[in-house]
Amino acid sequence: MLISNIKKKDFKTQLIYFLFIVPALIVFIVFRAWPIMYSFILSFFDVNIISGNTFLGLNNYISLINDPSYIKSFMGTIRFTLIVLPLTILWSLLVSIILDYKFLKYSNVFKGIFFMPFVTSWIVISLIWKWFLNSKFGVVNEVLSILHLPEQDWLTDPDVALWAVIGITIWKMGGYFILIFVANLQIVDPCLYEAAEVDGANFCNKFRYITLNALKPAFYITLITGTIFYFRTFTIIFAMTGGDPLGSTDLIAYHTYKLAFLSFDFGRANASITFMFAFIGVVLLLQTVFFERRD
Amino acid sequence: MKKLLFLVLVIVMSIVGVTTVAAAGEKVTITMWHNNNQVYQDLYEKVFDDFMANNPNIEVKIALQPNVSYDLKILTAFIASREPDIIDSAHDFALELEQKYSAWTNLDDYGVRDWEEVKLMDPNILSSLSYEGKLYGLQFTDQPLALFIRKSWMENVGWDKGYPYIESWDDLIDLAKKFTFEDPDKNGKDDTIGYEMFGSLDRNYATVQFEYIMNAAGQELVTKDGKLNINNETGIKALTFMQDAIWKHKIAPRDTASFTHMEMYRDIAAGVVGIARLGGWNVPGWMEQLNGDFVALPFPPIEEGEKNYASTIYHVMMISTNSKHPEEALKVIKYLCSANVQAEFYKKTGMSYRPDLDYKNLAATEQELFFKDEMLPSKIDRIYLITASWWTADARATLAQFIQSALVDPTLDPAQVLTDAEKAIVEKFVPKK
Repeated sequence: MLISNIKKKDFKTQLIYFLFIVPALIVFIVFRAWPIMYSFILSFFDVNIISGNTFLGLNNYISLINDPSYIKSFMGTIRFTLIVLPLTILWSLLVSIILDYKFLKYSNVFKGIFFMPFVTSWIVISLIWKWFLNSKFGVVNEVLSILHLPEQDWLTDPDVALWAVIGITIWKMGGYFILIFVANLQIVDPCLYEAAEVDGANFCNKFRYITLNALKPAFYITLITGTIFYFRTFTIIFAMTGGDPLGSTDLIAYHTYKLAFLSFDFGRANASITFMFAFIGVVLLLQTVFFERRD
Repeated sequence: MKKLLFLVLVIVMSIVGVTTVAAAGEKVTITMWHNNNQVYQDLYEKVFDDFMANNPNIEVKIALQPNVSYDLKILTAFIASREPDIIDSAHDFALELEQKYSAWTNLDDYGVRDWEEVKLMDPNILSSLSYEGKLYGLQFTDQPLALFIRKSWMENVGWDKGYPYIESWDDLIDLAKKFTFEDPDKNGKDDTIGYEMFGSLDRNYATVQFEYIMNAAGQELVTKDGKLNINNETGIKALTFMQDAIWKHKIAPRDTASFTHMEMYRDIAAGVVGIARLGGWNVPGWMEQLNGDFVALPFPPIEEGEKNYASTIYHVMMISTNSKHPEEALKVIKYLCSANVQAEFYKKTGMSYRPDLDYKNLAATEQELFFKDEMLPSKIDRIYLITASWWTADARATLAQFIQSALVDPTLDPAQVLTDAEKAIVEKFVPKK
């Protein structure tokens, strides 16, 4: 009797909890899950926005794989992610450690300064940097000129443009990563460092065995969110380079946009989205397995 | 029972009759989008007020859409089945939608070629608005392409040649050099751009710029019989001119390959550009913005004394294939093509497609004639942008990549670039016989 009452009560509680999440669930299904599903379905069709779709099977995927510009864009995105993700983590880690240094004055002001780029919109940042990087009027070349360094064609030299995008991305996303690292550093018990010092640990040992260990959750979060974000990089390309020059900054999200809205090839664009979704999913799975094994 | 049946029949007939009467007297709403500017919007509203007064059963709703995402907005409207009945758009986008989706109503079904308004349209323009034998759009304006030159700068650098100011490409380079290196704005700083072009791959601007220079030299990128026409003497000269402007003469910024019209508009507004492309649609806005401190003239011929060709792009009006009221929509389009409305548009915008208007007198009545005689719509040489159905956005994108490669790498030989471009385009896009 008692058990059945408890079970009944449990069910009621669960039901109430469930009802609370129903609105969010509906929003998620309508605006997230269904579009993803629908995009997946469309990836098997020749999409005609007026007269209806024609089933193509796997043809859109095969066509993408055989398209050198798509493969170039896909490989470029992997290269971009592999460069920018570790660099953002390194940069953020370094800044976080400095910001967490107990003798640093006005650390909150500096935290605000580093965090500011992250809260500024990508469009604004891209347009400002486009002007900063202008070869004739840009402040960056002006500074290089004052320092007697060679001026660069930041946005038109195929060997330089991607690096300009990488630099700005690190600068902007660094704010978010720094926030996560600083938050993690602040919860490390100072006693651990004191105990280590008593045991004769030097700076490197303390950093390796205490700080890095404490930052494991931060590494996990930054790796996961960074992978997702960087693989989907779009706005800075859209607003600053347009994939130029010579496709050197034509990352996969922008390439997909062009497939859909410039070539009107919605079937292949949806195949590309599905491909991206699956690829990111696999990478995240591998990262999660790696972290779980390490734990 | 019979009485009951009779009663039901009477009721049904009455309802059907009432409905039919209502349908016949119902006011039809025609929606139309355009992406011009507020000057056009005000004009459209004015002429449609007159139209609706004479056609009480048709209501026209005209909406100005932002130019930046206009194509995207039309596409998404089609996807959501909420597109307007009439779309006023640049003709290349119109063709793309017809090629991909058969998006427009076949106007031949309504016998529009017999209209007096259509007979006045250039047959070549009509053929460029046809796809697979179907006429899908009607021309609304000629939008002459010209060269913008800042008037006060010519005085400041002592350029004393009278109209047409520059008579060859060498003249253009000489003037642009003065604008770049002789402090034409007299502010004591090296902060001016002599000549600004487009070179981005975004929306194939590199191709647009190349085409503009080719057109002005009397060549089309695709001939009227559908052949690719880039790898010839004029094409090589045009690409060499663009490449040299950046790297040899240094009159155009090294960033040219990243420029779209947005950068050009920004730099013109900032007062740092001396020479650039000007479209007829820019004139009203820039007259106000720059206090009339510019002249517009056709792009010069390659050599002095040769003919220079005035080219144009044109806006087109199409009716959505899903429109429920194509006949009423056509009535609206016919009205917009009429002499009175075209004259009204010419007075305010300097653009009209009709060759039969008395342009000089029209211009004299309401605004100073901005374009000289050779730029009048009736005299434009009309070197077309699109003359073959295979000349799609993807084909133009392929050419844009090759053009851009020459703009970012001064060591590339323009002749070789065009040979490679021709090979790539012919292989991928030109239909094999």
